[in-house]
Amino acid sequence: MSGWIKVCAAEEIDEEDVIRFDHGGRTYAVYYTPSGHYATDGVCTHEEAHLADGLVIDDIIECPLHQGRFHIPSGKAKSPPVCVDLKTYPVKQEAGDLFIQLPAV
Amino acid sequence: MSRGAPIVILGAGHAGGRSAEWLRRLGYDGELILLGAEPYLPYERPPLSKGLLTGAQAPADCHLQDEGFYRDNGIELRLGDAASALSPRDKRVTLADGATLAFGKLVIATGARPRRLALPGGELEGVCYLRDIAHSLELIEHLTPGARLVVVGGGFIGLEVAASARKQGAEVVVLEAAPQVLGRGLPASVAEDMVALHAAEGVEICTGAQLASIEGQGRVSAVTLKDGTRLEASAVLIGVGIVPNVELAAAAGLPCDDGILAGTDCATEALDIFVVGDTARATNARYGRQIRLESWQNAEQQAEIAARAVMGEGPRWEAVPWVWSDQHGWNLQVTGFPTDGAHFVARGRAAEGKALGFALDRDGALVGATALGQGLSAAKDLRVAQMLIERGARPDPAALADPSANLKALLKQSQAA
Repeated sequence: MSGWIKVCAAEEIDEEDVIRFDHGGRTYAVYYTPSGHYATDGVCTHEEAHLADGLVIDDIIECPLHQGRFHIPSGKAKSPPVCVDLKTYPVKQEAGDLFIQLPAV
Repeated sequence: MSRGAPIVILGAGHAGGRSAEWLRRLGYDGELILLGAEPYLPYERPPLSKGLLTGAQAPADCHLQDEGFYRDNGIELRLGDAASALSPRDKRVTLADGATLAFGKLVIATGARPRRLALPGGELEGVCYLRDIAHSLELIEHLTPGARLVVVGGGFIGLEVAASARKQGAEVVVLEAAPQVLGRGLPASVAEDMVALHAAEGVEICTGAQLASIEGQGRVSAVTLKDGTRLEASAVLIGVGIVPNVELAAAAGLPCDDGILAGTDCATEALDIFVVGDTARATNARYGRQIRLESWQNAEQQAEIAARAVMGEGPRWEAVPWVWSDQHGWNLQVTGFPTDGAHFVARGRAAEGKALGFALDRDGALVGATALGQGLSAAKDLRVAQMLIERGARPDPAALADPSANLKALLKQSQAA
């Protein structure tokens, strides 16, 4: 079943920061950037590293392991060594809470 | 770029492989030949002392790209084929079989080899070095439960192998000749934290310990130190640094000094010949001096610099150095030159899960930083420190020392300043 899953209260993510969100055996990264809230897969496409340990600058997340960069809103790989894009997921805010829309399993 | 003689890359390691990728990415559409002495596709070396030894990764997991990538991008891979001579004037390399290959431009990425210890017993079976996949596969055979591994050298390679061997159930002793491990660029406090981590995992580290000989009948059975101490050993890993492979370039008359010398664009003194990676001592524009780095980051970045230079883009190498090491589930990252600092500021403690160290020069500018954390918990902070160094920032030492002060705020302050 696809649907909107509650992540956390919106205020729990600082601006220009990212948190890890685990659901259904998968890991996601949920971001608050100057342009809004976003969600992507939580593990770098290059090697096993949680993006939630990485640095957010504007709309860019940098992997903590090799400093590969992704554009958060689109998931696009921006600089080597990463070359595979991140999957992105819709995020919405309702009554102060953040929700992520996950596809049917 | 005009077609003509091919671009040849000597050395199909990490820097050589990435150089080929960058040339294609930048639009070079002529003939491109990648010569490698090893039989493997270009690969990254960090897993050799970690994932490969513990079985978490296989050799193929280390490859930069799969075979199809080179085929699809018209990169001619000649593996198991090393050059034996170079003529800068004729713009030719001589291959092992005596044939010659003309080049329009040449990128030298010949890497480095382990420094050998000339000791009695140094040729016994079970005496291992670690630099390439073949070394790693040989070492794995010795890392069995109950094995007794003596590691010679308390640098990154030695300590990473010690951690991996421990995970495989081996008994491990590390011998370091100097008074502290990781002495080539890390403050004593970080070295002490690393020794404590190893002690907690059952790895014994002996500093000031000089190896005198390795003993055994055909294969290793013990080592003896200069003070007479004898340690039983079923294998010995020697990790006492690497020697850049400059011989080909030096014989061809290129200036070398512990590395092949190059300018800020990785160009050597010879026309159309560039050098990248572990064997390059290039001028770092930020520091205004020639620096040779042995790191994953450097292989990545100089590959791009040299490719841009080949394409006539006039790049400048001005990276702030950055390395990492993984040991016992902890990640240590280092940026800049921490031992160049006049003042040191500590933030947090390893015993609490995360220890950062900042090195400031006499003017208060950040020149180096270290971050040790469980998993990648300290990586983000180190990255901020690297960016502060890149900006020449003079962060407030009190804020650096205060774990509750936001490091990223210092970055914004430096931007505003």
